[in-house]
Amino acid sequence: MTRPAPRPADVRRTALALAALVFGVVSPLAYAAQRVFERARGGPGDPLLVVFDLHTSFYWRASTAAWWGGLAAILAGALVAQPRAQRGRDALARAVALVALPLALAIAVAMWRLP
Amino acid sequence: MIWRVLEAVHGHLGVLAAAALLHPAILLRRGLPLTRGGRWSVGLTTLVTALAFGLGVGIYEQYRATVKRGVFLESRAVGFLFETKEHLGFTVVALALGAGVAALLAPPGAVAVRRACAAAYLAAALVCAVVVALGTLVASTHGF
Repeated sequence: MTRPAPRPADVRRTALALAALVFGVVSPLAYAAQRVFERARGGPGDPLLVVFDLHTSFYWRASTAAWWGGLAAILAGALVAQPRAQRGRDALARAVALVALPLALAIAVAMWRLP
Repeated sequence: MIWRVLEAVHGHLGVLAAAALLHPAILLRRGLPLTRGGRWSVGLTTLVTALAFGLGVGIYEQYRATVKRGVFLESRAVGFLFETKEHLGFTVVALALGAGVAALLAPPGAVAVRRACAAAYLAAALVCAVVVALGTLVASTHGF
Protein backbone atom coordinates (compact mmCIF):
# COMPACT_ATOMS: atom_id res chain seq x y z
CA MET A 1 0.00 0.00 0.00
CA THR A 2 1.46 3.36 -0.99
CA ARG A 3 1.05 6.62 0.86
CA PRO A 4 -0.93 9.37 -0.93
CA ALA A 5 1.29 12.06 -2.45
CA PRO A 6 1.62 15.04 -0.09
CA ARG A 7 0.21 18.38 -1.14
CA PRO A 8 2.82 20.81 -2.54
CA ALA A 9 2.01 23.33 0.21
CA ASP A 10 2.62 20.69 2.88
CA VAL A 11 5.90 19.66 1.26
CA ARG A 12 7.04 23.28 1.26
CA ARG A 13 6.07 23.81 4.90
CA THR A 14 7.74 20.56 5.97
CA ALA A 15 10.92 21.52 4.14
CA LEU A 16 10.93 24.96 5.81
CA ALA A 17 10.32 23.38 9.21
CA LEU A 18 13.19 20.95 8.67
CA ALA A 19 15.42 23.81 7.54
CA ALA A 20 14.64 25.66 10.79
CA LEU A 21 15.50 22.55 12.81
CA VAL A 22 18.78 22.14 10.92
CA PHE A 23 19.58 25.79 11.73
CA GLY A 24 18.86 25.10 15.40
CA VAL A 25 21.24 22.15 15.50
CA VAL A 26 24.05 23.34 13.22
CA SER A 27 24.42 26.87 14.67
CA PRO A 28 25.44 25.73 18.18
CA LEU A 29 27.73 23.13 16.62
CA ALA A 30 29.41 25.84 14.50
CA TYR A 31 29.69 28.08 17.57
CA ALA A 32 31.33 25.35 19.64
CA ALA A 33 33.67 24.41 16.77
CA GLN A 34 34.84 28.04 16.50
CA ARG A 35 35.40 28.25 20.25
CA VAL A 36 37.38 25.00 20.30
CA PHE A 37 39.44 26.26 17.34
CA GLU A 38 40.13 29.57 19.15
CA ARG A 39 41.24 27.70 22.26
CA ALA A 40 43.40 25.33 20.23
CA ARG A 41 45.16 28.32 18.63
CA GLY A 42 45.29 30.58 21.69
CA GLY A 43 45.96 28.08 24.47
CA PRO A 44 44.43 28.14 27.95
CA GLY A 45 42.28 31.12 28.88
CA ASP A 46 43.89 34.08 30.65
CA PRO A 47 41.54 35.79 33.18
CA LEU A 48 43.10 39.18 32.40
CA LEU A 49 42.32 38.80 28.71
CA VAL A 50 38.80 37.56 29.46
CA VAL A 51 38.08 40.56 31.70
CA PHE A 52 39.36 43.12 29.20
CA ASP A 53 38.00 41.39 26.09
CA LEU A 54 35.14 43.34 24.50
CA HIS A 55 32.02 41.47 23.49
CA THR A 56 32.94 41.87 19.82
CA SER A 57 34.44 38.39 19.63
CA PHE A 58 31.19 36.89 20.94
CA TYR A 59 29.13 38.79 18.37
CA TRP A 60 31.42 37.63 15.57
CA ARG A 61 31.36 34.04 16.80
CA ALA A 62 27.56 34.06 17.14
CA SER A 63 27.07 35.76 13.75
CA THR A 64 29.41 33.32 12.00
CA ALA A 65 27.67 30.39 13.69
CA ALA A 66 24.29 31.75 12.56
CA TRP A 67 25.69 32.11 9.03
CA TRP A 68 26.81 28.46 8.98
CA GLY A 69 23.47 27.43 10.45
CA GLY A 70 21.65 29.41 7.77
CA LEU A 71 23.76 27.88 5.03
CA ALA A 72 23.10 24.35 6.31
CA ALA A 73 19.40 25.16 6.62
CA ILE A 74 19.22 26.39 3.00
CA LEU A 75 21.01 23.27 1.74
CA ALA A 76 18.87 20.91 3.82
CA GLY A 77 15.69 22.73 2.87
CA ALA A 78 16.55 22.59 -0.83
CA LEU A 79 17.34 18.86 -0.61
CA VAL A 80 14.07 17.89 1.07
CA ALA A 81 11.83 20.33 -0.81
CA GLN A 82 11.41 17.95 -3.75
CA PRO A 83 7.93 16.33 -3.69
CA ARG A 84 9.51 12.83 -4.14
CA ALA A 85 11.92 13.26 -1.21
CA GLN A 86 9.49 11.93 1.40
CA ARG A 87 12.03 9.40 2.68
CA GLY A 88 14.65 12.16 2.89
CA ARG A 89 12.30 14.34 4.95
CA ASP A 90 11.51 11.49 7.33
CA ALA A 91 15.18 10.55 7.64
CA LEU A 92 16.27 14.13 8.32
CA ALA A 93 13.58 14.59 10.99
CA ARG A 94 14.62 11.32 12.66
CA ALA A 95 18.29 12.32 12.49
CA VAL A 96 17.59 15.67 14.17
CA ALA A 97 15.51 13.96 16.86
CA LEU A 98 18.36 11.52 17.45
CA VAL A 99 21.27 13.97 17.59
CA ALA A 100 19.73 17.07 19.26
CA LEU A 101 20.12 15.97 22.88
CA PRO A 102 23.52 14.18 22.67
CA LEU A 103 24.90 17.09 20.63
CA ALA A 104 23.68 19.70 23.14
CA LEU A 105 25.17 17.73 26.04
CA ALA A 106 28.46 17.28 24.17
CA ILE A 107 28.59 21.04 23.52
CA ALA A 108 27.90 21.69 27.21
CA VAL A 109 30.79 19.44 28.25
CA ALA A 110 33.12 20.95 25.62
CA MET A 111 32.29 24.52 26.68
CA TRP A 112 32.82 23.57 30.33
CA ARG A 113 36.22 22.04 29.61
CA LEU A 114 37.21 24.82 27.17
CA PRO A 115 35.42 27.95 28.48
CA MET B 1 20.56 50.03 41.00
CA ILE B 2 19.04 49.72 37.51
CA TRP B 3 21.74 47.20 36.51
CA ARG B 4 21.00 45.12 39.59
CA VAL B 5 17.31 45.08 38.64
CA LEU B 6 18.11 44.16 35.02
CA GLU B 7 20.41 41.39 36.24
CA ALA B 8 17.60 40.03 38.43
CA VAL B 9 15.08 40.25 35.56
CA HIS B 10 17.57 38.46 33.28
CA GLY B 11 17.97 35.69 35.89
CA HIS B 12 14.25 35.29 36.44
CA LEU B 13 13.56 35.19 32.70
CA GLY B 14 16.23 32.49 32.43
CA VAL B 15 14.53 30.36 35.09
CA LEU B 16 11.19 30.92 33.37
CA ALA B 17 12.71 29.91 30.02
CA ALA B 18 14.17 26.69 31.50
CA ALA B 19 10.73 25.71 32.80
CA ALA B 20 8.83 26.95 29.74
CA LEU B 21 11.05 25.02 27.29
CA LEU B 22 9.87 21.76 28.84
CA HIS B 23 6.24 22.47 27.97
CA PRO B 24 6.56 22.29 24.15
CA ALA B 25 8.88 19.29 24.60
CA ILE B 26 6.01 17.48 26.32
CA LEU B 27 3.32 18.85 23.96
CA LEU B 28 5.16 17.77 20.81
CA ARG B 29 6.56 14.41 21.93
CA ARG B 30 3.81 12.38 20.21
CA GLY B 31 3.95 14.40 17.02
CA LEU B 32 0.31 15.46 17.13
CA PRO B 33 -0.65 18.78 15.48
CA LEU B 34 -0.51 21.79 17.78
CA THR B 35 -3.71 23.22 19.15
CA ARG B 36 -4.20 26.96 19.39
CA GLY B 37 -2.98 26.85 23.00
CA GLY B 38 0.02 24.80 21.91
CA ARG B 39 0.92 27.44 19.33
CA TRP B 40 0.77 30.08 22.05
CA SER B 41 3.00 27.93 24.24
CA VAL B 42 5.59 27.55 21.48
CA GLY B 43 5.49 31.26 20.62
CA LEU B 44 5.72 32.49 24.21
CA THR B 45 8.49 30.01 25.07
CA THR B 46 10.55 31.20 22.12
CA LEU B 47 9.88 34.82 23.08
CA VAL B 48 10.87 34.34 26.74
CA THR B 49 14.05 32.50 25.75
CA ALA B 50 15.01 35.21 23.26
CA LEU B 51 14.24 37.93 25.82
CA ALA B 52 16.42 36.29 28.49
CA PHE B 53 19.28 35.97 26.00
CA GLY B 54 18.83 39.49 24.63
CA LEU B 55 18.76 41.06 28.09
CA GLY B 56 21.94 39.16 28.99
CA VAL B 57 23.66 40.51 25.90
CA GLY B 58 22.29 43.99 26.68
CA ILE B 59 23.74 44.21 30.20
CA TYR B 60 27.02 42.51 29.32
CA GLU B 61 29.12 45.62 28.66
CA GLN B 62 28.24 47.15 32.03
CA TYR B 63 28.79 43.76 33.65
CA ARG B 64 32.24 43.46 32.09
CA ALA B 65 33.18 46.97 33.14
CA THR B 66 32.04 46.79 36.77
CA VAL B 67 31.51 43.19 37.90
CA LYS B 68 33.53 40.67 35.93
CA ARG B 69 36.87 41.57 37.46
CA GLY B 70 35.38 41.01 40.94
CA VAL B 71 34.11 37.57 39.92
CA PHE B 72 37.60 36.53 38.82
CA LEU B 73 39.12 37.98 41.99
CA GLU B 74 36.67 35.98 44.09
CA SER B 75 37.15 32.76 42.13
CA ARG B 76 38.98 32.09 38.88
CA ALA B 77 36.92 28.91 38.31
CA VAL B 78 33.62 30.76 38.68
CA GLY B 79 34.87 33.48 36.32
CA PHE B 80 35.44 30.88 33.64
CA LEU B 81 32.06 29.30 34.37
CA PHE B 82 30.51 32.62 33.34
CA GLU B 83 32.19 32.13 29.95
CA THR B 84 30.69 28.62 29.75
CA LYS B 85 27.27 30.10 30.58
CA GLU B 86 27.61 32.62 27.76
CA HIS B 87 28.49 29.93 25.20
CA LEU B 88 25.65 27.68 26.33
CA GLY B 89 23.22 30.60 26.18
CA PHE B 90 23.76 30.74 22.43
CA THR B 91 23.12 26.98 22.20
CA VAL B 92 19.79 27.37 24.02
CA VAL B 93 18.54 30.28 21.95
CA ALA B 94 19.51 28.66 18.63
CA LEU B 95 17.79 25.37 19.54
CA ALA B 96 14.68 27.16 20.83
CA LEU B 97 14.41 29.40 17.75
CA GLY B 98 14.88 26.49 15.34
CA ALA B 99 12.40 24.26 17.15
CA GLY B 100 9.92 27.11 17.56
CA VAL B 101 9.86 28.03 13.88
CA ALA B 102 9.73 24.35 12.89
CA ALA B 103 6.84 23.56 15.26
CA LEU B 104 4.81 26.51 13.98
CA LEU B 105 5.48 25.72 10.31
CA ALA B 106 5.05 21.93 10.37
CA PRO B 107 1.84 20.86 8.55
CA PRO B 108 -0.62 18.51 10.32
CA GLY B 109 0.88 15.37 8.74
CA ALA B 110 4.49 16.08 9.73
CA VAL B 111 4.60 13.82 12.78
CA ALA B 112 8.35 13.14 12.58
CA VAL B 113 9.14 16.86 12.36
CA ARG B 114 7.18 17.60 15.54
CA ARG B 115 8.93 14.74 17.34
CA ALA B 116 12.26 16.25 16.28
CA CYS B 117 11.04 19.60 17.65
CA ALA B 118 10.27 17.90 20.98
CA ALA B 119 13.83 16.51 21.10
CA ALA B 120 15.29 19.94 20.31
CA TYR B 121 13.13 21.56 23.00
CA LEU B 122 14.19 18.93 25.53
CA ALA B 123 17.86 19.56 24.69
CA ALA B 124 17.30 23.32 24.99
CA ALA B 125 15.52 22.90 28.35
CA LEU B 126 18.33 20.79 29.83
CA VAL B 127 21.08 23.12 28.63
CA CYS B 128 19.03 26.10 29.82
CA ALA B 129 18.83 24.49 33.28
CA VAL B 130 22.63 24.26 33.26
CA VAL B 131 22.85 27.93 32.20
CA VAL B 132 20.50 28.91 35.03
CA ALA B 133 22.55 26.94 37.58
CA LEU B 134 25.78 28.54 36.36
CA GLY B 135 24.19 32.00 36.37
CA THR B 136 22.99 31.53 39.94
CA LEU B 137 26.46 30.41 41.02
CA VAL B 138 28.13 33.39 39.32
CA ALA B 139 25.59 35.89 40.69
CA SER B 140 25.96 34.51 44.19
CA THR B 141 29.73 34.91 43.96
CA HIS B 142 29.72 38.54 42.86
CA GLY B 143 27.10 40.80 41.29
CA PHE B 144 26.18 44.41 40.51
